[in-house]
Amino acid sequence: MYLGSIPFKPDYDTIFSRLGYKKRTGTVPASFRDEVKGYIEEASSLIKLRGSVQRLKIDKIDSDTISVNTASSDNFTINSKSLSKFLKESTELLFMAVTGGDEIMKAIEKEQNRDMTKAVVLDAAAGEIVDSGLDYITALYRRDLLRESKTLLDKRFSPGYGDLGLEIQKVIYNILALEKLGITLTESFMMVPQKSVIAVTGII
Amino acid sequence: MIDKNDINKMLEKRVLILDGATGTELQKKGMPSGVCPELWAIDNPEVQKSIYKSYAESGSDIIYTCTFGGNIFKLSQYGEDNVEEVNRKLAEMAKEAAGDKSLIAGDIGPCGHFIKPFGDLDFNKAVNFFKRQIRGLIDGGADLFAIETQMDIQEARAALIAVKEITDAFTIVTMTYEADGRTLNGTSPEAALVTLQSLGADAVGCNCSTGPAEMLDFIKRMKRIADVPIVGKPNAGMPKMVNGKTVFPMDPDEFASYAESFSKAGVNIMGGCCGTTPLHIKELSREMEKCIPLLPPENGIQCFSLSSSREAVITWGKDPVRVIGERINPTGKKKLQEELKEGRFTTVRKMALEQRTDGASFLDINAGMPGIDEKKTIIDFIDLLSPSTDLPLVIDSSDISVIEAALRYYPGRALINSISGEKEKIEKLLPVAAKYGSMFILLPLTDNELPSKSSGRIEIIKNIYKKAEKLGYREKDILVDGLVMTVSSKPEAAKETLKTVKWASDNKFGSVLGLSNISFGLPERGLVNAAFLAMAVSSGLSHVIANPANTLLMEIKAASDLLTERDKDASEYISFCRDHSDSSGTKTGKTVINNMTPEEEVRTGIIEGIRDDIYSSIKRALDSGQNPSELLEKTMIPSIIHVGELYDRKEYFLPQLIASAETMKKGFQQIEPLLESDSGNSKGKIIFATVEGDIHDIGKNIVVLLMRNFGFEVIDLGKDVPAKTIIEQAKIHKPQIIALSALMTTTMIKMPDVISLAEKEGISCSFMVGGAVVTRDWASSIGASYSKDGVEAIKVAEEILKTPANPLS
Repeated sequence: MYLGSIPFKPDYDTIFSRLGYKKRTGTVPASFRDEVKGYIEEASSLIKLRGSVQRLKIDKIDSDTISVNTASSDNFTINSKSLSKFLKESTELLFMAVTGGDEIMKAIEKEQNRDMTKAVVLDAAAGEIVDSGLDYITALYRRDLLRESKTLLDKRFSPGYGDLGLEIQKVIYNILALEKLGITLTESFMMVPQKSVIAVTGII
Repeated sequence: MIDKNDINKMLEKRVLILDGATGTELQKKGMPSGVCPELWAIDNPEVQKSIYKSYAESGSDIIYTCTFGGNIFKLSQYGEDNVEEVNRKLAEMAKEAAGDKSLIAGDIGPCGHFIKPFGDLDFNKAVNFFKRQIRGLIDGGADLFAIETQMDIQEARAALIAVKEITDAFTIVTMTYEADGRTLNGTSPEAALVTLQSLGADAVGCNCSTGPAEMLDFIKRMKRIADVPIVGKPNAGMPKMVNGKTVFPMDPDEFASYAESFSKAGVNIMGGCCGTTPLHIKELSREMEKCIPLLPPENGIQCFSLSSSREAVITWGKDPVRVIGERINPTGKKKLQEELKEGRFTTVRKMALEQRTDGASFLDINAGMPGIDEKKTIIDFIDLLSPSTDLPLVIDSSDISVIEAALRYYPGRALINSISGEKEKIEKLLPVAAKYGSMFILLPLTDNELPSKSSGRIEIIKNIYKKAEKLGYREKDILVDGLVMTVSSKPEAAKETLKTVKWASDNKFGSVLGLSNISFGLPERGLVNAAFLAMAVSSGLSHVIANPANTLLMEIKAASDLLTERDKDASEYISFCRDHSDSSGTKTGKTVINNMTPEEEVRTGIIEGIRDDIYSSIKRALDSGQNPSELLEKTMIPSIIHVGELYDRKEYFLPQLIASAETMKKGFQQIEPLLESDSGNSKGKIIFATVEGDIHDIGKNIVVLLMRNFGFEVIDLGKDVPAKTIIEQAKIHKPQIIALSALMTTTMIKMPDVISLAEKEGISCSFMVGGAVVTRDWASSIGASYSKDGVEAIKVAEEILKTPANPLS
């Protein structure tokens, strides 16, 4: 399923925290706080949060492989001990991806040469907002699954964690048809625009 | 189908009782996991009928058909595409089982796809898909409709429009709110209420997601502004995981104990959702019999209400004047015109954000210019702004078809700018406005008359209102335009407009002015506009169309609100002054530096990261006779070191560190040419690169900025740099340190490649590594030093350079 425009509101506290702000010790003048908030608002206005998600059955899972049923002839297996352990209780899984789009990346690149302060805030805000897109997708599924008396695992897993290599991004990219979201993969399997994330979680 | 007036009469007498859960009841009665509930119910009619029947016998006045997923998207997942037939059968079954005990509501759940502008499904297609389900339900004998568990206001709108385009049946619409008081898509209960009741829902409320305790607050929030009955259908408490299963913990007695508080909060129709059973409903019904229904006032709540997809903006009679931001209009704006012709919206997005920041409550959108498709562009505006702004939109066009397309599509309650007494507007636009429940600006002129006197305008207003009233409009749905004319050619123009505004205000209408025409042809027009605004506020003006970046106008508005008792406790005025005060330093963020010595000014500038002023501070220091080298060594460097300490102590966070570093950088660039030859020498030379395959470099760039500030000579090779290039550059520049950065585990493995190649090529400099996934242990394992951030990187580099090194020679 595609989500053409995932709603979001920047969570200022989380973005501040991502930028290293500590409530107990931090001393940020109100004016500087406003400046940072202004940059976060600008980041929000430049982000178009879009996503893609697929619910797939797990045919079999053992200690280091997961066999995924795509309901077509392209069933596949993932070799990863870490992911197997993560999904061990799950009968199905969700592949999901979210991107913040190209415009925010252009702004971050531009600002790095003009105003690095702004660039780091745009970058952190974009990272946080894109992550919130995954929160949205999981919340969406959690509430739908309620009617089936099912739910999702509390956490998500992303390529690059544990022994799950980035190569799997190519497989997930194809399943989620991420080209429709304007995402491309580099030779080293990184996503462009950079503010894009892929994750997997299990249904229990 | 039952006449909706009959249901309204029932509501006058008591709180009507809905049914409870169907899904969990089906599961209890043997429905296996993973099947389609609708098809399973058809295959097991006795089971489904027994559920319907038990709710009828438990006191449900209204029972929902088991058609929650009875739309083409859900059914086709199970190979069924005869939507009409499935819905017909399930509605028939419900009618048969309930007999004359209960009314049957055709249940419409979410289709599982997001609709534009929040998803990819075309809005009109969605309306048509819902119509298939509705026709089936009507054929099966549904008495009314219940659109439920909606989290996308646009989908709720599509389903409601679908019902209304087929039948005049009583229609309940309930959204589902998470514990934070919003739907997953971010819609507040107030926004949903305003949007849905204006679009013609007969009852609005919420179901699922929360238990009764959490839902009570949503009911109260809606009731405050509701012109329609309020519905609540909570779960049996918040779900819990017990032994790997989702359970709803609330028993029937506890559930029913909420009847009184729900009734007092204003619920008019109540039932249960997930986890509730016929027993819950029986107890609820029994408790609710003791309660007296609280119906909405006959003439509605006296407020002006508009909504976006996220928020409602409610204006009460004595609220401060609302500003309608006028800037998104290509007339006279070349840059915007060019962008729109190219299909770009950067400026529109910027204007929306700025106007919101400057204090607009609504955004006027106008796409009328030659050379573009106005209808397409206004839809593009809605696509762009609906997800990105909380502010309701004002649809501004002279083309009725453009307004109609926008109203149908806009996922909120819009304001139309405007409807006049012109024949075409009355005959064509007014019914369209009524269909979509929009508010409108009433322009008091006709095809033949542009009255110069308020009496003439008032006559036209009365005539238009008479026609609007027949279509369901009330005064509170209309903003009267006072019709601003030019005072330089008609000296009495201001007076007549103000009289019109006062009349509107006295007669419960809202009012609005587009100010600037008043001063046409005069010098210092801003003064005239601002004075006119103050007078209009005094006459009862409720809305103004203006550019909220106009400081004078906004100042006068804030002061006028205060003086006309629209700003209780002066809180808005004080807040406005705080946000717009330069003298207090609040807006600019600068420490007051009047009494500082030049050195203190430079120090403060660096420590507080006042990037824009460092040039003048340094100039002042130099003009006062300060030696440049001394200024650098005794003031600037200690200041940036202090900033590093503040960052280390977590008193500063990253943006403060960077702002200080940038200030230092600017200051250093200014002072560098003046330094004596031995001052400001490099502490050491470092090559920086993000390794091959890694395209993330903002972290590396931060470290580079800091390193340069602390006197290191940095050669930055950028990102995605092959080992070969790094080594080639090392041979050229002969650095003491090569610093490598990587964000991903998959790219950090390129780091040892660089180190190996360096060894192979006989380069014996030191290595530093860093990046999100890089750890101290990993660094150590490949023979490199590690730093977790830029400040530590400086210390590590200083430490490396203290020990005898073997730079290339």
